[in-house]
Amino acid sequence: MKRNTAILLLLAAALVLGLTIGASGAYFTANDAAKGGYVLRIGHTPPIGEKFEDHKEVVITNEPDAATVFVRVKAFAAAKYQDKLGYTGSNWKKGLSGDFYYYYMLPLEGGTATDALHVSVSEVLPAGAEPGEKSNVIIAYESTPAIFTADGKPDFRTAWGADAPAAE
Amino acid sequence: MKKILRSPAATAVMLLLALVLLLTGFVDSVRAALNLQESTIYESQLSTTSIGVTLQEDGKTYASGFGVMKVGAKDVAEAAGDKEFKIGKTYSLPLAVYNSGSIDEYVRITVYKYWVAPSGTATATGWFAGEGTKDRSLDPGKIVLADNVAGWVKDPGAETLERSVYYYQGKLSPGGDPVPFPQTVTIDSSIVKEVELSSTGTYLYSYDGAGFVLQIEVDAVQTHSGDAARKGSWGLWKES
Repeated sequence: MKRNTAILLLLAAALVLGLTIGASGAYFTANDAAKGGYVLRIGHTPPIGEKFEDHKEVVITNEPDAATVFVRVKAFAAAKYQDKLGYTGSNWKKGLSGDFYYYYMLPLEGGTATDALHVSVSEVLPAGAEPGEKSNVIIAYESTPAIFTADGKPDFRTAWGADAPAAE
Repeated sequence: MKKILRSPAATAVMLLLALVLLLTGFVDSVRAALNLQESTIYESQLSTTSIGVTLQEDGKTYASGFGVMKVGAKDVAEAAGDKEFKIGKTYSLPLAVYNSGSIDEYVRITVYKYWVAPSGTATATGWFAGEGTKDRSLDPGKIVLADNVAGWVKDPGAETLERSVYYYQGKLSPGGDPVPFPQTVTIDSSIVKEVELSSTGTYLYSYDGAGFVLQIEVDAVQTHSGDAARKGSWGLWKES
Protein backbone atom coordinates (compact mmCIF):
# COMPACT_ATOMS: atom_id res chain seq x y z
CA MET A 1 0.00 0.00 0.00
CA LYS A 2 2.82 2.33 1.02
CA ARG A 3 4.57 1.56 -2.25
CA ASN A 4 1.46 2.29 -4.24
CA THR A 5 1.03 5.57 -2.43
CA ALA A 6 4.58 6.60 -3.18
CA ILE A 7 4.18 5.70 -6.85
CA LEU A 8 0.95 7.66 -7.09
CA LEU A 9 2.52 10.66 -5.38
CA LEU A 10 5.46 10.56 -7.80
CA LEU A 11 3.09 10.25 -10.73
CA ALA A 12 1.08 13.25 -9.54
CA ALA A 13 4.24 15.32 -9.07
CA ALA A 14 5.50 14.33 -12.53
CA LEU A 15 2.19 15.38 -14.09
CA VAL A 16 2.26 18.75 -12.40
CA LEU A 17 5.96 19.33 -13.27
CA GLY A 18 5.34 18.22 -16.82
CA LEU A 19 2.78 20.94 -17.28
CA THR A 20 5.13 23.55 -15.80
CA ILE A 21 8.07 22.65 -18.06
CA GLY A 22 5.83 22.74 -21.10
CA ALA A 23 4.77 26.28 -20.34
CA SER A 24 8.24 27.75 -19.72
CA GLY A 25 9.84 26.29 -22.85
CA ALA A 26 7.34 27.82 -25.21
CA TYR A 27 9.39 30.66 -26.72
CA PHE A 28 10.01 30.82 -30.45
CA THR A 29 13.67 30.34 -31.24
CA ALA A 30 15.71 29.66 -34.38
CA ASN A 31 19.34 29.20 -35.32
CA ASP A 32 21.76 28.82 -38.20
CA ALA A 33 25.45 27.91 -38.25
CA ALA A 34 28.54 27.58 -40.40
CA LYS A 35 32.19 26.75 -39.95
CA GLY A 36 35.37 26.59 -41.94
CA GLY A 37 39.09 26.95 -41.62
CA TYR A 38 42.50 26.91 -43.13
CA VAL A 39 45.41 24.51 -42.83
CA LEU A 40 48.65 26.36 -42.16
CA ARG A 41 52.00 25.33 -43.55
CA ILE A 42 54.98 26.72 -41.73
CA GLY A 43 58.66 26.12 -42.16
CA HIS A 44 60.70 24.83 -44.99
CA THR A 45 64.29 24.75 -46.12
CA PRO A 46 64.48 25.70 -49.77
CA PRO A 47 67.58 24.58 -51.69
CA ILE A 48 70.14 27.13 -52.78
CA GLY A 49 71.36 27.36 -56.32
CA GLU A 50 74.76 28.89 -56.94
CA LYS A 51 77.05 29.17 -59.90
CA PHE A 52 80.40 30.81 -60.39
CA GLU A 53 81.83 32.49 -63.44
CA ASP A 54 83.61 35.73 -62.85
CA HIS A 55 81.26 36.30 -59.97
CA LYS A 56 78.92 34.22 -57.83
CA GLU A 57 75.31 34.15 -58.89
CA VAL A 58 72.95 33.10 -56.11
CA VAL A 59 69.38 31.96 -56.77
CA ILE A 60 67.20 30.39 -54.10
CA THR A 61 64.30 28.28 -55.26
CA ASN A 62 61.39 27.22 -53.09
CA GLU A 63 59.93 23.81 -53.79
CA PRO A 64 56.46 23.46 -55.32
CA ASP A 65 53.66 23.42 -52.72
CA ALA A 66 56.05 24.43 -49.95
CA ALA A 67 55.23 27.11 -47.42
CA THR A 68 56.07 30.72 -48.16
CA VAL A 69 59.35 31.85 -46.59
CA PHE A 70 61.63 34.86 -46.31
CA VAL A 71 65.30 34.37 -47.24
CA ARG A 72 68.54 36.18 -46.63
CA VAL A 73 72.05 35.53 -47.84
CA LYS A 74 75.49 36.19 -46.47
CA ALA A 75 78.80 35.78 -48.27
CA PHE A 76 81.80 34.93 -46.14
CA ALA A 77 85.30 35.84 -47.19
CA ALA A 78 88.52 36.39 -45.30
CA ALA A 79 87.95 39.17 -42.76
CA LYS A 80 90.03 41.76 -44.55
CA TYR A 81 88.10 41.18 -47.80
CA GLN A 82 84.62 40.89 -46.31
CA ASP A 83 83.64 44.48 -47.02
CA LYS A 84 85.13 44.34 -50.52
CA LEU A 85 82.56 41.95 -51.90
CA GLY A 86 80.21 43.58 -54.38
CA TYR A 87 76.49 42.78 -54.44
CA THR A 88 73.94 43.53 -57.14
CA GLY A 89 70.48 42.12 -57.76
CA SER A 90 66.96 43.40 -58.00
CA ASN A 91 64.80 42.93 -54.88
CA TRP A 92 67.86 42.29 -52.69
CA LYS A 93 68.73 44.79 -49.97
CA LYS A 94 71.63 45.09 -47.58
CA GLY A 95 70.91 44.68 -43.87
CA LEU A 96 70.96 47.77 -41.69
CA SER A 97 73.52 46.78 -39.07
CA GLY A 98 76.52 46.05 -41.27
CA ASP A 99 76.39 42.29 -40.65
CA PHE A 100 76.71 41.72 -44.42
CA TYR A 101 73.33 40.03 -44.72
CA TYR A 102 71.39 40.64 -47.91
CA TYR A 103 67.65 40.29 -47.66
CA TYR A 104 65.31 39.25 -50.43
CA MET A 105 62.53 41.79 -50.21
CA LEU A 106 59.70 39.59 -51.45
CA PRO A 107 58.05 36.56 -49.83
CA LEU A 108 59.27 33.43 -51.58
CA GLU A 109 56.19 31.35 -52.33
CA GLY A 110 56.26 27.63 -53.09
CA GLY A 111 57.44 26.91 -56.62
CA THR A 112 59.08 30.30 -57.12
CA ALA A 113 62.68 31.48 -57.16
CA THR A 114 64.41 34.65 -56.08
CA ASP A 115 65.95 37.04 -58.54
CA ALA A 116 69.65 36.43 -58.89
CA LEU A 117 72.02 38.02 -56.41
CA HIS A 118 75.38 38.65 -58.04
CA VAL A 119 78.29 38.60 -55.63
CA SER A 120 81.41 40.04 -57.17
CA VAL A 121 84.60 38.58 -55.83
CA SER A 122 87.02 40.48 -58.07
CA GLU A 123 88.15 42.69 -55.21
CA VAL A 124 88.86 39.67 -53.07
CA LEU A 125 91.48 38.26 -55.39
CA PRO A 126 95.03 39.18 -54.54
CA ALA A 127 96.67 41.69 -56.86
CA GLY A 128 98.35 39.96 -59.76
CA ALA A 129 96.71 36.65 -59.02
CA GLU A 130 97.52 33.90 -61.46
CA PRO A 131 95.19 31.15 -62.65
CA GLY A 132 95.28 28.29 -60.15
CA GLU A 133 95.62 30.47 -57.09
CA LYS A 134 92.91 29.83 -54.54
CA SER A 135 90.46 32.23 -53.02
CA ASN A 136 87.49 31.24 -50.95
CA VAL A 137 84.08 32.91 -50.73
CA ILE A 138 81.31 30.95 -49.06
CA ILE A 139 77.66 31.74 -49.63
CA ALA A 140 75.28 30.90 -46.81
CA TYR A 141 71.58 31.55 -46.67
CA GLU A 142 68.81 31.36 -44.09
CA SER A 143 65.06 31.07 -44.42
CA THR A 144 62.28 31.77 -41.96
CA PRO A 145 58.49 31.39 -42.22
CA ALA A 146 56.90 34.36 -43.91
CA ILE A 147 54.78 36.57 -41.69
CA PHE A 148 52.83 39.70 -42.52
CA THR A 149 51.50 42.87 -40.98
CA ALA A 150 47.76 43.36 -40.49
CA ASP A 151 47.52 45.13 -43.84
CA GLY A 152 49.29 42.28 -45.63
CA LYS A 153 52.81 43.66 -46.10
CA PRO A 154 55.77 41.33 -45.48
CA ASP A 155 56.93 41.81 -41.89
CA PHE A 156 60.69 41.32 -42.38
CA ARG A 157 61.70 43.14 -39.24
CA THR A 158 59.58 40.98 -36.92
CA ALA A 159 60.75 37.85 -38.71
CA TRP A 160 64.47 38.65 -38.86
CA GLY A 161 65.02 41.35 -36.27
CA ALA A 162 66.24 44.94 -36.44
CA ASP A 163 68.89 44.23 -39.12
CA ALA A 164 66.26 43.64 -41.79
CA PRO A 165 65.08 46.53 -43.95
CA ALA A 166 61.37 47.32 -43.71
CA ALA A 167 59.11 46.35 -46.61
CA GLU A 168 58.34 49.17 -48.99
CA MET B 1 0.46 14.76 9.74
CA LYS B 2 2.27 11.62 8.63
CA LYS B 3 -0.85 9.64 9.23
CA ILE B 4 -2.90 11.96 7.09
CA LEU B 5 -0.41 11.87 4.25
CA ARG B 6 -0.30 8.08 4.33
CA SER B 7 -4.05 7.70 4.22
CA PRO B 8 -5.71 6.48 1.01
CA ALA B 9 -7.87 9.58 1.10
CA ALA B 10 -4.80 11.83 0.80
CA THR B 11 -3.55 9.82 -2.13
CA ALA B 12 -6.92 10.10 -3.83
CA VAL B 13 -6.96 13.87 -3.24
CA MET B 14 -3.46 14.30 -4.74
CA LEU B 15 -4.38 12.24 -7.78
CA LEU B 16 -7.58 14.20 -8.21
CA LEU B 17 -5.62 17.44 -7.96
CA ALA B 18 -3.21 16.31 -10.66
CA LEU B 19 -6.09 15.31 -12.93
CA VAL B 20 -7.79 18.66 -12.39
CA LEU B 21 -4.58 20.46 -13.33
CA LEU B 22 -4.20 18.38 -16.43
CA LEU B 23 -7.81 18.84 -17.51
CA THR B 24 -7.68 22.57 -16.87
CA GLY B 25 -4.74 22.81 -19.26
CA PHE B 26 -6.53 20.84 -21.94
CA VAL B 27 -9.74 22.77 -21.54
CA ASP B 28 -7.84 26.07 -21.93
CA SER B 29 -6.30 24.87 -25.15
CA VAL B 30 -9.58 23.62 -26.51
CA ARG B 31 -11.32 26.86 -25.69
CA ALA B 32 -8.73 28.77 -27.62
CA ALA B 33 -9.21 26.79 -30.77
CA LEU B 34 -12.70 27.89 -31.72
CA ASN B 35 -14.25 31.29 -31.61
CA LEU B 36 -18.01 31.49 -31.65
CA GLN B 37 -19.36 34.69 -33.14
CA GLU B 38 -22.81 36.19 -33.26
CA SER B 39 -23.56 34.94 -36.69
CA THR B 40 -25.06 32.06 -38.44
CA ILE B 41 -21.68 31.27 -39.91
CA TYR B 42 -18.96 29.82 -37.84
CA GLU B 43 -15.65 31.05 -39.04
CA SER B 44 -12.28 29.77 -38.14
CA GLN B 45 -9.16 31.55 -39.26
CA LEU B 46 -5.79 29.94 -39.16
CA SER B 47 -2.68 32.04 -39.17
CA THR B 48 0.74 30.59 -38.52
CA THR B 49 3.78 32.42 -37.23
CA SER B 50 7.27 31.23 -37.68
CA ILE B 51 10.65 32.39 -36.51
CA GLY B 52 13.71 32.05 -38.67
CA VAL B 53 17.20 33.43 -38.90
CA THR B 54 19.71 32.93 -41.68
CA LEU B 55 23.42 33.47 -41.86
CA GLN B 56 25.06 34.88 -44.95
CA GLU B 57 28.66 35.07 -46.13
CA ASP B 58 29.54 37.54 -48.83
CA GLY B 59 25.84 38.07 -49.58
CA LYS B 60 25.08 34.39 -50.07
CA THR B 61 23.25 31.97 -47.81
CA TYR B 62 24.84 28.63 -47.13
CA ALA B 63 23.58 25.36 -48.47
CA SER B 64 21.24 23.56 -46.10
CA GLY B 65 22.74 22.08 -42.98
CA PHE B 66 25.99 23.27 -41.49
CA GLY B 67 27.43 25.90 -43.86
CA VAL B 68 31.05 25.85 -44.96
CA MET B 69 32.74 29.18 -44.39
CA LYS B 70 35.38 30.44 -46.79
CA VAL B 71 37.47 32.04 -44.10
CA GLY B 72 39.38 34.93 -45.59
CA ALA B 73 39.12 33.47 -49.10
CA LYS B 74 37.42 36.54 -50.50
CA ASP B 75 40.30 38.78 -49.44
CA VAL B 76 42.84 36.38 -50.91
CA ALA B 77 40.96 36.13 -54.17
CA GLU B 78 40.73 39.89 -54.46
CA ALA B 79 44.35 40.59 -53.55
CA ALA B 80 46.51 40.43 -56.63
CA GLY B 81 49.35 37.97 -56.23
CA ASP B 82 48.09 36.39 -53.02
CA LYS B 83 48.08 32.64 -53.34
CA GLU B 84 47.34 31.72 -49.78
CA PHE B 85 46.26 32.85 -46.36
CA LYS B 86 49.00 34.97 -44.79
CA ILE B 87 50.07 34.62 -41.19
CA GLY B 88 49.70 37.97 -39.43
CA LYS B 89 47.42 39.58 -42.01
CA THR B 90 43.93 40.62 -40.91
CA TYR B 91 41.14 39.12 -43.01
CA SER B 92 37.55 40.27 -43.10
CA LEU B 93 34.69 37.85 -42.55
CA PRO B 94 31.88 39.30 -44.67
CA LEU B 95 29.08 37.81 -42.56
CA ALA B 96 25.52 39.03 -42.12
CA VAL B 97 22.26 37.75 -40.67
CA TYR B 98 18.68 38.37 -41.68
CA ASN B 99 15.25 37.52 -40.38
CA SER B 100 13.91 34.67 -42.49
CA GLY B 101 10.80 34.15 -40.37
CA SER B 102 7.58 36.09 -39.96
CA ILE B 103 7.97 37.70 -36.53
CA ASP B 104 10.38 40.19 -35.02
CA GLU B 105 13.38 38.68 -33.28
CA TYR B 106 16.48 39.36 -31.23
CA VAL B 107 19.69 37.72 -32.40
CA ARG B 108 23.08 36.88 -31.02
CA ILE B 109 26.14 35.37 -32.66
CA THR B 110 28.53 32.96 -31.00
CA VAL B 111 31.97 32.53 -32.54
CA TYR B 112 34.05 29.49 -31.65
CA LYS B 113 37.73 29.29 -32.60
CA TYR B 114 40.08 26.39 -32.16
CA TRP B 115 42.79 24.30 -33.79
CA VAL B 116 42.38 20.85 -35.25
CA ALA B 117 44.48 18.12 -36.75
CA PRO B 118 42.56 18.20 -40.02
CA SER B 119 40.77 15.17 -41.30
CA GLY B 120 39.55 14.81 -44.84
CA THR B 121 41.10 16.78 -47.60
CA ALA B 122 41.94 20.42 -47.61
CA THR B 123 41.92 22.17 -50.94
CA ALA B 124 45.25 22.71 -52.62
CA THR B 125 45.15 26.25 -51.31
CA GLY B 126 44.58 25.14 -47.73
CA TRP B 127 40.89 25.84 -47.05
CA PHE B 128 38.88 23.08 -45.45
CA ALA B 129 35.46 22.50 -43.93
CA GLY B 130 36.75 22.57 -40.38
CA GLU B 131 36.58 18.84 -39.73
CA GLY B 132 39.22 17.14 -37.63
CA THR B 133 40.30 16.26 -34.13
CA LYS B 134 40.57 19.24 -31.83
CA ASP B 135 44.16 19.90 -30.81
CA ARG B 136 44.08 21.31 -27.30
CA SER B 137 47.85 21.71 -27.17
CA LEU B 138 47.61 24.67 -29.57
CA ASP B 139 46.49 28.04 -28.28
CA PRO B 140 43.11 29.36 -29.49
CA GLY B 141 44.35 32.78 -28.40
CA LYS B 142 46.57 32.80 -31.50
CA ILE B 143 43.36 33.04 -33.56
CA VAL B 144 42.59 36.69 -32.98
CA LEU B 145 39.10 38.11 -33.52
CA ALA B 146 38.04 41.74 -33.34
CA ASP B 147 36.64 42.77 -29.95
CA ASN B 148 34.62 45.62 -31.38
CA VAL B 149 32.13 44.71 -34.06
CA ALA B 150 30.04 47.66 -35.19
CA GLY B 151 26.42 47.30 -34.15
CA TRP B 152 27.10 44.34 -31.86
CA VAL B 153 28.02 44.17 -28.19
CA LYS B 154 30.40 41.53 -26.93
CA ASP B 155 29.39 39.77 -23.73
CA PRO B 156 32.50 39.66 -21.50
CA GLY B 157 30.74 37.26 -19.15
CA ALA B 158 30.41 34.63 -21.85
CA GLU B 159 34.03 34.89 -23.01
CA THR B 160 36.23 31.79 -22.92
CA LEU B 161 39.47 30.91 -24.70
CA GLU B 162 37.46 29.39 -27.52
CA ARG B 163 34.23 31.36 -27.49
CA SER B 164 32.99 34.93 -27.92
CA VAL B 165 29.35 35.98 -27.88
CA TYR B 166 28.01 39.12 -29.55
CA TYR B 167 24.50 40.54 -29.13
CA TYR B 168 22.88 42.65 -31.82
CA GLN B 169 21.67 45.96 -30.44
CA GLY B 170 18.18 46.03 -31.83
CA LYS B 171 15.67 43.70 -33.33
CA LEU B 172 15.45 42.15 -36.77
CA SER B 173 12.16 42.44 -38.60
CA PRO B 174 10.85 40.05 -41.25
CA GLY B 175 11.80 41.16 -44.74
CA GLY B 176 14.43 43.57 -43.44
CA ASP B 177 17.87 43.97 -44.96
CA PRO B 178 20.62 41.66 -43.71
CA VAL B 179 22.51 43.08 -40.75
CA PRO B 180 26.29 42.92 -41.22
CA PHE B 181 28.49 41.18 -38.67
CA PRO B 182 31.81 42.70 -39.76
CA GLN B 183 34.15 40.39 -37.85
CA THR B 184 37.83 39.87 -38.74
CA VAL B 185 40.38 37.14 -38.12
CA THR B 186 44.15 37.33 -37.75
CA ILE B 187 46.56 34.49 -37.03
CA ASP B 188 49.11 35.81 -34.55
CA SER B 189 52.51 35.71 -36.25
CA SER B 190 54.15 34.60 -33.01
CA ILE B 191 53.12 31.05 -33.91
CA VAL B 192 56.19 30.80 -36.15
CA LYS B 193 58.36 31.10 -33.03
CA GLU B 194 56.75 28.01 -31.47
CA VAL B 195 59.25 25.31 -32.36
CA GLU B 196 60.48 22.02 -31.01
CA LEU B 197 63.86 20.49 -31.75
CA SER B 198 63.49 17.09 -33.39
CA SER B 199 65.71 14.10 -32.73
CA THR B 200 67.45 14.76 -36.05
CA GLY B 201 68.37 18.28 -35.02
CA THR B 202 65.87 20.10 -37.18
CA TYR B 203 63.24 22.43 -35.88
CA LEU B 204 59.61 21.39 -36.04
CA TYR B 205 57.02 24.13 -36.05
CA SER B 206 54.24 23.37 -33.56
CA TYR B 207 51.54 24.91 -35.75
CA ASP B 208 52.76 23.45 -39.05
CA GLY B 209 49.97 21.42 -40.63
CA ALA B 210 47.44 22.51 -38.02
CA GLY B 211 44.10 23.86 -39.17
CA PHE B 212 42.42 26.77 -37.48
CA VAL B 213 38.66 26.62 -37.39
CA LEU B 214 36.03 29.31 -37.00
CA GLN B 215 32.52 28.23 -36.19
CA ILE B 216 29.72 30.78 -36.27
CA GLU B 217 26.31 30.18 -34.72
CA VAL B 218 23.44 32.63 -34.80
CA ASP B 219 20.50 32.30 -32.39
CA ALA B 220 17.21 34.15 -32.59
CA VAL B 221 14.41 34.52 -30.07
CA GLN B 222 11.03 36.24 -30.24
CA THR B 223 10.73 39.89 -29.23
CA HIS B 224 7.21 39.39 -27.82
CA SER B 225 7.75 39.17 -24.07
CA GLY B 226 11.32 39.71 -25.14
CA ASP B 227 12.99 40.02 -21.77
CA ALA B 228 11.40 36.85 -20.50
CA ALA B 229 12.09 35.10 -23.80
CA ARG B 230 15.76 36.05 -23.73
CA LYS B 231 16.02 35.03 -20.14
CA GLY B 232 14.28 31.73 -20.77
CA SER B 233 16.22 30.90 -23.92
CA TRP B 234 19.60 32.52 -23.39
CA GLY B 235 19.75 33.07 -19.65
CA LEU B 236 20.09 36.77 -20.40
CA TRP B 237 18.06 39.39 -18.62
CA LYS B 238 18.07 42.90 -19.97
CA GLU B 239 15.96 45.57 -18.31
CA SER B 240 14.08 47.45 -20.99
